[in-house]
Amino acid sequence: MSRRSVFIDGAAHKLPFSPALVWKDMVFVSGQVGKDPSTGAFEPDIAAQTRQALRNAAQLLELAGTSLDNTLQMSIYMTDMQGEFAAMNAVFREFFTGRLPARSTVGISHLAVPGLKIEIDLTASLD
Amino acid sequence: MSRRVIVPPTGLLPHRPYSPAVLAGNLLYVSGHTGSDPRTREFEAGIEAQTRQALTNIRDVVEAAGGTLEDIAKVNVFMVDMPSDFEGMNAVFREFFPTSPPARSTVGVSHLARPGLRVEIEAVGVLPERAHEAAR
Repeated sequence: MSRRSVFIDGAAHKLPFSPALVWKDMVFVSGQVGKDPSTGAFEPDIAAQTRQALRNAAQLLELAGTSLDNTLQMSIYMTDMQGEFAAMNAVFREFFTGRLPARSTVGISHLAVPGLKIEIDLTASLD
Repeated sequence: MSRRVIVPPTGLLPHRPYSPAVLAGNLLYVSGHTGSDPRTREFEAGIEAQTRQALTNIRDVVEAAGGTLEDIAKVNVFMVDMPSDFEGMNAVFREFFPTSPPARSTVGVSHLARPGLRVEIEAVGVLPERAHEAAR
């Protein structure tokens, strides 16, 4: 079957969705936040949270058999876009040095846990 | 690329200037659905009831396209009060996607179209080729 769920080893994932879903030649990555996938801990600042969220996404893509370079579209949700957009973009540039995906960014009122500042999801191709 | 507007059995609502879903090739884009009854526009107050109605609305659209909820690849959930409602939404979500669930993002938003609405859910599906053919 061409539909496959992807999980990070050791991650405590109890929620009713797949962290990433591979379907034929597409990979759908669920919204990633700045939490350590094993401990669930997160740092308070936007740069660290952005870095961790993108690391989580990159790890899921690697497990799926692809990489961030094959990202087609990305959505970024931020709790303080006006205050933190520049800092998020600086980290974003560390991860995307070659091909850049299409991207939307919007400000939201909150996330699942107080203190979380950013959630990132994406769709990528397998190659 | 073939493109088709998908209309559920409850029909189109005249106040909505968009399609319930668009099927392009075998990709199905399902519009955001709330817990509002598609005929009466009434909704219940609780998150469980609203989530159940929203996912029922989505299922109706997916089936009208010739697919099932198992064809859904990605879901986006927008909630007005995640700390209070996340658990209730997840419990109902699990009922609808018991195995091989889709990828999902959930974010908190400041408001939805009408006061009292607590959740809006949109989805992307990848339908089997035969469903696409059947929907022609």
